Amino acid sequence: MALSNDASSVPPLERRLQLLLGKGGVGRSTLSAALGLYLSGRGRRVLLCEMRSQRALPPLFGREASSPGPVALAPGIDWMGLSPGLALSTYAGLRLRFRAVARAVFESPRVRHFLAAVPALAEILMLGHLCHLAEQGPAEVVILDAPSTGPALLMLESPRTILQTAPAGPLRDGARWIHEWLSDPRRTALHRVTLAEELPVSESLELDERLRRAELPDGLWLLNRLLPEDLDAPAEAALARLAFAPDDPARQALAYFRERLSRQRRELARLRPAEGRSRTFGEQPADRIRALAPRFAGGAPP
Amino acid sequence: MTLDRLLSRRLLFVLGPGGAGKTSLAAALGLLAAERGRRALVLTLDPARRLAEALRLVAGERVFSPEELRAAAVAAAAPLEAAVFDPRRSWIDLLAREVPDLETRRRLLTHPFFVRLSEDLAGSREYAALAEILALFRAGRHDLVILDTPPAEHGLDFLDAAERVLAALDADALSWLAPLGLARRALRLTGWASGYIARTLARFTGAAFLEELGGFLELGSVLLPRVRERAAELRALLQSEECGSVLVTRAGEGPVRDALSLWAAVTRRARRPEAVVANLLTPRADRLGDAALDPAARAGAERVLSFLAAIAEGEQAALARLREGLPAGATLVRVPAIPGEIVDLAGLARLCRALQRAFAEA
Repeated sequence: MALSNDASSVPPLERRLQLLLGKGGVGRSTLSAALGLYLSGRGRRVLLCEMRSQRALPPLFGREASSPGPVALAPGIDWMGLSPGLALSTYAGLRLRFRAVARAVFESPRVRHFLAAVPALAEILMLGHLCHLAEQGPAEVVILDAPSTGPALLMLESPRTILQTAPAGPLRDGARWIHEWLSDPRRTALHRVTLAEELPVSESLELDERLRRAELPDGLWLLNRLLPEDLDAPAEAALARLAFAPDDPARQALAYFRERLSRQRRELARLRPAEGRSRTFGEQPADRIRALAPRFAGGAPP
Repeated sequence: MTLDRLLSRRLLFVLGPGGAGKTSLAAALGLLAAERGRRALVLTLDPARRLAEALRLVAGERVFSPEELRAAAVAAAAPLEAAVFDPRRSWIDLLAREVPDLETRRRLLTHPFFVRLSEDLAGSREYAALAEILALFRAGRHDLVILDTPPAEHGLDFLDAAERVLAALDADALSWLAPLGLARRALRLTGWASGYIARTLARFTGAAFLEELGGFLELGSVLLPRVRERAAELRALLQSEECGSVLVTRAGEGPVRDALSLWAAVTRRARRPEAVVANLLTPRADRLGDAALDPAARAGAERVLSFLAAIAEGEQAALARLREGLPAGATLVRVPAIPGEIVDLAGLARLCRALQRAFAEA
C-alpha cells in the first residue's frame, strides 16, 4: 500500500491541518490527544478540535468542557468543539462578511431544519470553520478528531458536492477555498487510524481507496492497540512445555493471547504501509496519552 | 433482567460505541430467541464481511431452519432470519406502500433532495427501517425483531427518526421560503420576517437551491399525513413494554463514557435499557498453578499473564466507573472475549453460551 510520496509535500506531522480518520472504536480520540501532546512537546501551538455533541477530548486531559471553547487543556494545547451552528455564527460570519442580523437568521430553529436537508451544507460549514482556524492561527497546527469513516467521507467530499451543484455565490467560493486547503499535501495530512482487526482494517483500506480517488492528501497510518510481538515466543513455549488441564484459566489466557497475536499479524500484512509512513501504539491498560505521545516519533513496534 | 424476559419483547435495539461487538451480539440474541421457539429477524446495517458470510447475508439466502441451527449446536425450536438493511430499498418499498400515484412516486425517487434525505439525513434511513418493521409486525411472520444499530450517537437516530423526518418534510416549518415564489400551494406565508430570511439564505446558497427545495416540499407533502401517523405509532411503540434496548460496550475509558451518555440519551427517549453488556473482556489468570515445572517456560508464561492482568485491571477500573454511573438496579452483564473469531454459526453458538452464563451471573 504505497501512499503517494510527492517530493514537494511536507512531512505529514509538520502540516498545519491534521485529521485523524477511522472506524468507530479504533481510538481516534486517544491518538488525537496524544498527537497534540507530541506536537506541543516539540514547541508547536496546538488546537484540538472535535465535532461530536458528547465531548471526548477534554476528559482525556482530566478536564470538562461546558462551552464549545476554545478551552486550554494543557500548556500549548487548546480545544474547540465544532458544530454547524458555531460555524455559522463564526466562520460564515467572518469569512462571508455576514452582518450580525444575518447570522441571527441562520440560528433560527426554522432555518436549522432547512440546513439539515441541503446536501453537504452542514458538513461544508464545519470544514470551512476548521480551515479558517488553521489559516488564521494563533494555533500553528490544528488537529481534528474526525467523525467515524462514513460521516467523515461525506464531510471530506462536501466541497466537491457543492462545487458540482451550487450556483455562483458565497457558498461556492467558500467551497473552492476549502477544497484548495484540503487537497494540498503541504498543508493538510489525513491520518488513517486502525486496529489490527478485520473490520477496522477493511474499513480503513476502503477509506484509503476513497481518499486517493478523491485526490486528497496522504498522512500516516496509525496502528493502535497492538499486542507485544516479543511475548509470542514465551507464550508458545509455555503452552508446549507446561502440563495444563484443558480448562486451566492460565492455559486459556495464553491461548487467547497467541490467537489475537496471529490475527494481528494477518491483518497488519494486509495494510503494508510505505516505509516510514506508519506509527505503532501498544495496547494500554488505560488511555495513557502521555505514554502514547512519544510513539509519533517512530521506531520499532512496542 | 433475565434473558427470557429480554427475549420476550417484540423489538430490541442493540446500541453501543463502535467496535463493541454489536452485530455479533444481535445475531447471538437471535439464536437465543430461536432456542426459545421465537421467530426472530436480525436486521443489521453494515456487518463485518466474515460475519455477513456466517449469516449468509452475502449470498442473499437468509433463513436458517431449526434443523440447520441444531447442526451448529443451537437447540433451536424456531427458524432465524437475518437481513442487511438497505435504506434505498426500504424507501422504495415505503413509497410503494404509502404513495399510490406512480408519477409522484417516480418524481420523488429521482429528486436530488430525496436521494439526499433518504440516504444521508440523520434519521431518515432509520425511519424507513422502522416503517418496514411496523409493516413486518402487521404481516405477523416474526415474534421478535432485533435491530443492530450504527455506532454510538448514530444509534439514537432510530429513536428520533420519526420526529426528524417529520421536521424535514414539514412545509409549515419552512413557510419562510414562500416569498421566493416557490411551491405556493404547499407553503403559506407566515409573516414579514419570511421574506428577509429567504433573501438572506438565497444570498448564501443561491436561489436555485431554495427553488429545488420548494419543489421537493411540494412533492413530499403527500407523505406528511402518513409520516405523522407513523410518528405517533412509533412513539407509542418505543415507550411500550413491547420494545427494549441493550447497550453493549468494551470496558475502556472512552467506550464507558460513551455508554453512559447513551444510557442517559435512551432514557430520555424511551424506556431505560434492559441491560448493559460489557463485552470482549480480556481473560486473565493470576496464578500458573502447580502444573508448571519448567522454570524458563514458567517465567515466560508469567510475563504474558502479567501483561494480560494489567489490561484486565484497566478494564475492571473502567467497569467500576460504568457501575457507578448506572442507576441502582441496572443490569450489568460481563461477557469475556470468547476464544477464536466469530466467523460462523458455531462461533455465534459459543457466544450464546457465554451470554447465557454472563446473564445468569449478573
